[in-house]
Amino acid sequence: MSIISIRQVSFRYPKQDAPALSNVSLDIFPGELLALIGGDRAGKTTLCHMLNGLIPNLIRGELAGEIIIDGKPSSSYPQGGISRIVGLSLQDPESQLFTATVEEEVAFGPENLSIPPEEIDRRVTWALEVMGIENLRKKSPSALSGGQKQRLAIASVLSMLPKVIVLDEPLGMLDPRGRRDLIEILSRLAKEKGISVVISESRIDEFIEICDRVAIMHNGSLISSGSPSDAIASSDTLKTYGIEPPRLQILSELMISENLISQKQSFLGERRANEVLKSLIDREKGGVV
Amino acid sequence: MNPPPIADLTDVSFTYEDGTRALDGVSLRIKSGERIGLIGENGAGKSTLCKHLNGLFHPAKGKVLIDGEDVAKSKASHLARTVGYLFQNPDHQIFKSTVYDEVAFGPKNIGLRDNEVADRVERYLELTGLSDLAKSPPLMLSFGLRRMVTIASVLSMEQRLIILDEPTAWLDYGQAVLAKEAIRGRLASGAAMILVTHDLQLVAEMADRVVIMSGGRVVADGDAKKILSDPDILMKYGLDPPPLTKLANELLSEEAASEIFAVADFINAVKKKKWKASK
Ligand SMILES: Nc1ncnc2c1ncn2[C@@H]1O[C@H](COP(=O)(O)OP(=O)(O)O)[C@@H](O)[C@H]1O
Ligand SMILES: Nc1ncnc2c1ncn2[C@@H]1O[C@H](COP(=O)(O)OP(=O)(O)O)[C@@H](O)[C@H]1O
Ligand SMILES: [Mg+2]
Ligand SMILES: [Mg+2]
Repeated sequence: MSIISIRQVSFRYPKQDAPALSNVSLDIFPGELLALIGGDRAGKTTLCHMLNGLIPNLIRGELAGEIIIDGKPSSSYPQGGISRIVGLSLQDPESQLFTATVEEEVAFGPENLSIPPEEIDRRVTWALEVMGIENLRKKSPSALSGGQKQRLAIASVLSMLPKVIVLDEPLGMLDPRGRRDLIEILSRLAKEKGISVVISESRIDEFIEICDRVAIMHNGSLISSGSPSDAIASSDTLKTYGIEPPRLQILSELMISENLISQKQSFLGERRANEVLKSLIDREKGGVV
Repeated sequence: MNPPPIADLTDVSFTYEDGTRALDGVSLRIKSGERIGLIGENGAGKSTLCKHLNGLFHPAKGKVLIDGEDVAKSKASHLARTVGYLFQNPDHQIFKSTVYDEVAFGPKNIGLRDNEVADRVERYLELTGLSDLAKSPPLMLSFGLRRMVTIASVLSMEQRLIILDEPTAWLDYGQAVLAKEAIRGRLASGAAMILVTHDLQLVAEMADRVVIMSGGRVVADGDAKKILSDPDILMKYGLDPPPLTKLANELLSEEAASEIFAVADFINAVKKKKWKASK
């Protein structure tokens, strides 16, 4: 059973000629890690806003189709009702930070879920620690660096431990270690707690190996949705969709075209690249001896 | 006599109102035409440093010279002729009601004649793929396009030092390709660059010198290829090397690994079997 079901949804913003989404159908299942990739204006943000009810409950427009969240149409929830199920961090973190201190920002969500204070404290500390900003607890969110703001925006979604975590382009301003740590924690939350995670991005280099499923969007349509290796089979196709192909995929494609490895050995991410190349090395060294 | 460095910081320290010491004795000399990749963890002080070079901030201690002149004594309008600054968040920078006016503002402000302004705007809109959007209100555009507008605005001033604070964040693949081409055009004309980014691959493509900041200090400064192929120093400052670098370091000889910056380099090393010696 899916936790969110988007059925044949189209959406047009007021005063716009073209729809932002056209006939999109997508199910999100418990505990899965879904990458939603596409170029600028593909419709990723619009879809993310649907997943937590911002559209249509706050952002208006012409909507067709059904958005079912945890068994009920998203429009039937009272204001704020969806936030205990779906947490969303916005693409521009600045537009979601509004409290006086970092710790209040992270406590805000859980407080509204009427969670006991000790549990809130625990969650706030945990979320600040996993996002590496516990030393900034007492600081004003407006006095953070760009990347620190992004970390805070994500921490305030994590602290709610919702059933679904949706992150709209979370990696852009994070430093490399921050990206790795975030991806690790998301992967753990999905596996250990059955939380569904949706990450929207226009590149997938860093998290291709932990995704269960990759959905590609282009011009408001869902082009495909499938296993990572199927979804992003060709780097040229990715480029036409405005998606930066993983560098190791380019390496793999070149090695195949130069007959250094076989089609069957193609790789996308680090782990598999390592395996394939090590077997190549072993074979060559074995051949020499 | 040598021309003065385009930027010269001596022992610069800066503390924000809430007591955060964001820069702590930073010294950095940037020669004309030099291409610097400025990297470091979130909160390292990169943006704060950049804001000292265009006169937005003045150092509490130490000195910042641009083209030999003390920034504390120069007018912002004067500095703007030499230094261009792309803000980390495009929305901090956009304030005109059309894309055209937004890009025209800088060239007008540095006193170019009307026809020159028009030339510049057309050229940089074209380079950034925005020609068809000239009449659009920039704040109504998508994230990526807003970023492209600010890139056009900065480059159109054709200053001798461009500071780009995470220029490719929020750009998609096609936009990043255009942006890089446009930036390369300025570099080819001899502009110096400070490129702040977390994309170490981008640094490898664009920079010849790398400066690493951590905790408000410059902790490493040297040849880009040397630093970027040294996983130890990158890891030490929270900068995990990109997958290609990691793969090279695990599988190739030390010497070969230090020369892998692009996929083509890796292919060549594989063809020449420059494997790491087995233990
Ligand atoms: N608030 C808005 N008003 C009008 N049009 C919008 C708005 N937000 C997005 N759009 C348009 O909807 C389309 C999809 O945009 P978006 O969902 O932001 O894509 P992405 O996040 O993939 O860049 C684009 O054409 C964009 O210009
Ligand atoms: N307006 C501000 N007020 C107080 N502290 C700030 C402000 N802006 C940034 N800081 C702090 O200064 C340090 C350096 O920030 P910044 O230069 O933006 O880092 P970077 O650009 O390297 O991520 C960080 O610890 C950050 O929290
Ligand atoms: Mg978006
Ligand atoms: Mg910054």
